Amino acid sequence: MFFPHTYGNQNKTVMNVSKTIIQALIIGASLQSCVGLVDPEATCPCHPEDSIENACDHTCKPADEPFDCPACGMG
Amino acid sequence: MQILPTLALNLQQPLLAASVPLLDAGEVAALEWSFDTVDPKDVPDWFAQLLDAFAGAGRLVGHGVFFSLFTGRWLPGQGAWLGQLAQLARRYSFDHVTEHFGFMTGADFHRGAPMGVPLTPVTLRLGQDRMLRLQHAVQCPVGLENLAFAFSADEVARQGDFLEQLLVPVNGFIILDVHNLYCQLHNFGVEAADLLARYPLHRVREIHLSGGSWEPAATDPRKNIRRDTHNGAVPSEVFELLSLALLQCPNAKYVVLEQMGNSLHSAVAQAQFRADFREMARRVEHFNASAAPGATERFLPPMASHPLPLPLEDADLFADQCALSGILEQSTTLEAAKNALFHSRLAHAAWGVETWDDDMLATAMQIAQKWQ
Repeated sequence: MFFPHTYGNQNKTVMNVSKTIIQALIIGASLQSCVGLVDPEATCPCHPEDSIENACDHTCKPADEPFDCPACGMG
Repeated sequence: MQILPTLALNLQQPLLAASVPLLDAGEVAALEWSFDTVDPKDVPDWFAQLLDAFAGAGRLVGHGVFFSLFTGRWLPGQGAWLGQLAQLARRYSFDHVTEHFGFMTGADFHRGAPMGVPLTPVTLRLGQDRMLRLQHAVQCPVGLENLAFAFSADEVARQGDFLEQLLVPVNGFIILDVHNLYCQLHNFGVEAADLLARYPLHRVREIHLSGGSWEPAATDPRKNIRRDTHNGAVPSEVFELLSLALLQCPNAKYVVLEQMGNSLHSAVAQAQFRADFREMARRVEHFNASAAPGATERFLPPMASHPLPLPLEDADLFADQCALSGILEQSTTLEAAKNALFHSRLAHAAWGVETWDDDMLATAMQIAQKWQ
């Protein structure tokens, strides 16, 4: 097996990311409550019949954090 | 080869908020992404664009958390994990992909706390088999991170050599987590130079830094146990370990700052995180400026064309792991855990439970019970 690989410029340690990507990141991050490290057993305080992951369409809960539902602000 | 100050970035809003000023200023030279902490379908376009920007420059690395390398059985979840990773690797062109030494406690062996295994020929063969599968899936260099947690000083002393044996067949590399070393230095009273000398430092391609926390020891409240919880500022001793390690790791390419997003809610914590990144970068740039051009070992996979054999399994190891996980998760006191261990299938065996440090056993119980 041969593994082709592309390497970056090894002589520079700066990495300029385009302003467009940074702006999208800022906006996206501000809209996204949180994703990842889901506790699948947790239930949404506003929608107790369902897991947090399913109850709020784009939101899940980092396992260690108190939960604030982005839909209704309760938590 | 210049060493790249790198940020571990995941889809956690406080971490993103803390990181934007660093990214905007071009201070982040590379990204590490824990690809298995989120369902790929939940990766938004704006985050994928950022990953693409770094991948396009050959500066995106993948860091797995949930493969559970040393689980004694080959579980369906592991095959699915590799299949998903293979798709991601085609999508994002990782410069390399890494996982952790150890196995996960927890009901499905994919969620839980990473724990070590006996360093035996059986576990060596199993680990080599899993690394081969990882490499086959991603088709790029692969590596393993040293484990912070240890039950005994003997385990601490032997991990470096065992990692070397594990990695030779895939020409793999080590992530040297210097906060993990810091935990071991404190918890077992080892000298930094002595511990570093036990690692094959020519295999280090990536170095991790993070903060952690102190817990009172179970047997003596005046004593503290250092935990690798990734929830605080980087201690000055860990920065010193970084500088010491840089001098001895000729093939290092990435130095990565890690912190959990849930510890970065306040503006003060976010400012401290950026200060830690800048101190890390300052030390890396100082090393880059002063060091002679280093070796350029890329840890490319060896040529291989034969199909993968069936996954190795060891029923005894798996039964041991189930027994250990159960004891750690269910024991209510240290004495109860010791009693259960000494009358279990793990007694008088390669696990060496008779030599385990009481305080570390109590710590393992805390970790396992938190993550079960």
